[in-house]
Amino acid sequence: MRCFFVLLRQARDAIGYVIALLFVLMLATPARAQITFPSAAPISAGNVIVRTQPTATEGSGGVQSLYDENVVLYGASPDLTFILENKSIVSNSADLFARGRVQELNAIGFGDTVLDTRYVVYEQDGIGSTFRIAPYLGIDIPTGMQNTNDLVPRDLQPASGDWGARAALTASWQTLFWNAQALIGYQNYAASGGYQAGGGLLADAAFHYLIWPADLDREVPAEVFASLEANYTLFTPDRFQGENVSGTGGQLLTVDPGILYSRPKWGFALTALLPVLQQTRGIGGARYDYGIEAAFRVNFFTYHHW
Amino acid sequence: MRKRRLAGWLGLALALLACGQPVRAADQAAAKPALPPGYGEVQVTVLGVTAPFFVFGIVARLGQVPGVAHVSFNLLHGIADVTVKPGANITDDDLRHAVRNASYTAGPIKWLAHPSPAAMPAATKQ
Repeated sequence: MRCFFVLLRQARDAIGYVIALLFVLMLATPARAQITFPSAAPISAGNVIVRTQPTATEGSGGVQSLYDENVVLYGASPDLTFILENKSIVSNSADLFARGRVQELNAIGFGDTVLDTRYVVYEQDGIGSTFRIAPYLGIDIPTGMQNTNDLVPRDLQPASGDWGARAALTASWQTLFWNAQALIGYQNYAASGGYQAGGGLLADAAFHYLIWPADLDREVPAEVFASLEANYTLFTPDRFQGENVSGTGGQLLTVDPGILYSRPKWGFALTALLPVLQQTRGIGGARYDYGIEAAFRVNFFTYHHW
Repeated sequence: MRKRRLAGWLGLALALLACGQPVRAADQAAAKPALPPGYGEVQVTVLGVTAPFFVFGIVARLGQVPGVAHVSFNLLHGIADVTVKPGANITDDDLRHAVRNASYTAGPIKWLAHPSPAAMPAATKQ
């Protein structure tokens, strides 16, 4: 990455500019779809939920991203939940122009950590239904590796290296046969080393429909849901030395069909991430082609809570 | 290529739908076994529970109340069926507190049999 900016600064003649432009065209990645914000669903005091979420995405220019996101949710009280998210084993690769030729380069390492706090501010419960509203506040902690391969641009490194903050408002309406969730939020990053990742708007909507079993008048050991989610992000471009980095930021809307198998102690979900609208700011943005996300969840219980 | 992948997803969803035949009530476990001598039973209506995933929390919380022997939950009616050990002194407030800790709202509590005849000879209490 450093060599790119050195090249950019030193590109005083036409050839240098052309090389730098090609570099930008090869490097820019699309805004990323995100299904990371938990909903306003109930979490009991003392309940610990551990989720691991391997995801693979692919875009134009040979851009591939593989990562495993681990999430730990802890019910500190009936209304207060702490959520720790960490991206581990992040592997990003792309066909990049480096050392005079286009080659596939890879950056592998640990990702960043996010700590969210959720508090349920409104709750309306009925028999087999609940409607809840909960705001989130979270901080992005730069615990990962943001410079594992000098030839790979910063937005393809395993971690951002930046502190960040995010806030969101989420609502969940759950019944025995379907669940609807919505979220709107804002995310921003602090600058470091002259670089600032773009911040912006997050909006998610999800609908889950029970397809098995049909009879709930008994002890139900498991359920299968069909799910359809929509994830929208609208981000400002990344900035370097006060200038926008072309091909970053913009908007991305994905529609994500999936299937969810849920038992009291564990669950499994498989979701496809399909872009229906995408637009980057400036030239050089890579096209987001598709993604696949799996999620495995385990439920624990502890007597320790507020 | 993308169409082929979508077709694969659709096929998987249809296969799961085909497997999802309704389970009839008659297929369920036979009549509930009789309560052992000295045990009590109380039904707690719990509002807000919508899936087995959430049953985990309410069953764990009610099971934590001292004197509770077993908890089962009926999703459709939102009723936790709590079996109480002989001699246990559990109050409605204990049960309501456990439900709230589980992040749900307690509804009516109906004692079907109390474990302590000396404390409650009438067998039922609202």
